[in-house]
Amino acid sequence: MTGTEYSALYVISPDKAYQELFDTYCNYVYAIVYNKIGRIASAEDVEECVSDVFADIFFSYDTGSGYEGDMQGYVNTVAKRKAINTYHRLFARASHYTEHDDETMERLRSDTDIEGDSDKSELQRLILYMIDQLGEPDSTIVIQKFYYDKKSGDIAKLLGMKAPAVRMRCKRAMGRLKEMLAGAGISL
Amino acid sequence: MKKKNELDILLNGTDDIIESLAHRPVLTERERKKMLEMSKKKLEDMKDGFVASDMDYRSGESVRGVESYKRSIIMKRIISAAACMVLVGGLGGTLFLMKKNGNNKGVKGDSSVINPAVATTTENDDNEIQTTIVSTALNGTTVTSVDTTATAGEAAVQTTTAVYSTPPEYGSDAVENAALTYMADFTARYDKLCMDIAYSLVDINKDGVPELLVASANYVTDQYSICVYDGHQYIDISPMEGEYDLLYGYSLMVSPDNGLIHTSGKNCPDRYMKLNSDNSLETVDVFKNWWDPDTDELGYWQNDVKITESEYNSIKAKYDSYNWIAPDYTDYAEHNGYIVDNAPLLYTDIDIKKLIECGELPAGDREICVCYGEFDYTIDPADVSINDDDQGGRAGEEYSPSDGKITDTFDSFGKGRKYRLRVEILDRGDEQYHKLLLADIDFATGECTILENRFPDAVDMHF
Repeated sequence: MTGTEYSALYVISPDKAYQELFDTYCNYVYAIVYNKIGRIASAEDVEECVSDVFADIFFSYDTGSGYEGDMQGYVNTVAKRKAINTYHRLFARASHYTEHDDETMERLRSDTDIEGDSDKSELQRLILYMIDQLGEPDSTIVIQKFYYDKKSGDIAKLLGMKAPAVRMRCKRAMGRLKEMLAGAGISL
Repeated sequence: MKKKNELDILLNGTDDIIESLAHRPVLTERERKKMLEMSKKKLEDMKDGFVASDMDYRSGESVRGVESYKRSIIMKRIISAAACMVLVGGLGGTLFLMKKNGNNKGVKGDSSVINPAVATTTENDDNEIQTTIVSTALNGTTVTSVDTTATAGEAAVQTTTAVYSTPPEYGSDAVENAALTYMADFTARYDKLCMDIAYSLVDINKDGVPELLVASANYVTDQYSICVYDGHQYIDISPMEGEYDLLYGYSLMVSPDNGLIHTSGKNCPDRYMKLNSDNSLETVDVFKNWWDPDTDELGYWQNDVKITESEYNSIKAKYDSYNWIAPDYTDYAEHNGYIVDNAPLLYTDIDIKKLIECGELPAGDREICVCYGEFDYTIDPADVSINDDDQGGRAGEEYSPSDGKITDTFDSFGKGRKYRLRVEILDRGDEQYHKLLLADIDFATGECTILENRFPDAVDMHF
């Protein structure tokens, strides 16, 4: 969605503009937020943060700025900043009660390990590629179950399937993915 | 801290990783609506000078003021009186319609009476006392029962003369009743072949009348039917090839914005159909993305004409850009007990605590599933071992090790099916399968013969 489109729609009806912007970017914002805080946040915390992001955009985007380009960059920046703030807030809350695990501590370190980051990105791309090789709906089921940690019933609703079918496919798809990854020398 | 997921490796990814994840369906319609509403509420508060993140919009952790509310006694009485009038009016109207329409229409769904509402007693010219009970059935229809008691002589003889349902003739209730009638017929016809029969009413072509989508499952795939309301009843308009319904796959999605329906699934064609305003169903596009034996590589077809991969991706991208919604299904057969009641239910008792004690399962909170692997019943039992490779199966309910003793149920897909079943537990903690027992099951006779049981003290299977 471009800034021009959003601004034009906003003149006609702010509500319609909000709806359109939300529909266009809600998956994107959810993916950013979950990627940043998914390890420590509950599903409700993620939803709360996503709604914060959109409230911020609705409130602060200047429809008179004359910006004509894609709004994705702006949405990306707001979402990341909000997610990082939420992460620190949640981590501060959690650290009162739990031991820090290695991964969490690693996350807090500065992002200067360029080589390590590059290797990790390559690994992530490879895993996503192999997930895609599972075909639909298995790739979506695997992501929903083992990344977003969704329940089989919720995945079934999302995909218009039955929960038992999701469970069955989930089990088999993960088995296939692990075999494919093992073939590439990767274990999850 | 949350439990670790297998794909946590994808967390904290770069922008291209996030974009790749964002292109997949993530949120249900309900989740989207909920978050948009929260955003708008936060926006209003921000306009009022409050900072969104300072408040918890789910729990109301931050309270900005308390509005005291006291309902007036007079209003309470007025509301009570109004409710009584509505009740009396509704019953009177129902009785009027019954009389006017001859009381001869029946709904075949479950009409178990749950809420007797009113009973009236009248004595007719033949000295018979008629008791009319108007009540509400489980499926929401009004059920009227008329009992006639003859008073001739000293001994009264009670005979039931009529029990029938009176679906409302007008408005949305008529449509819903027509849907329930269709579902009852559908279930009666297909109960040997289907399980988990469900339905959804969705206005796909935005003509103000919802279409009826019926979903059922057999052991291979989901099957769908699209039905339209002709003013009296729902009619199946699903595309057919000979006697075979073509709407199968793993998913049916609708796009009311475009009046489109999409079915898809692995090894099933991607079928896009348009429901026109005259309720005719037009197949717009059928895509296949299958192995091409001629070239020995993946091929792409649009309406049986071969196309290139880029053409396929381009057309699919157009369809993917539409707003697709998964219908919200209501279970029908399970509610009305058609399928489950057709065959005895098989129970698997598992004492998880004992499996932990003997070291088969680790302790700790996580998800575990009871799974059933099905073997061909015709295989010689001597050739089947509990350790054979998986020959298909389905994961059942999800449990936790802390549940202790559990009883999982397994129902036949239809009447008279025979199975050789292997029961196992899938441990979501390490994705390991724990084989428990192997048994021959005959749903027709209700016999269960356990062939092997690795943990007789902890696991049992019976009807």
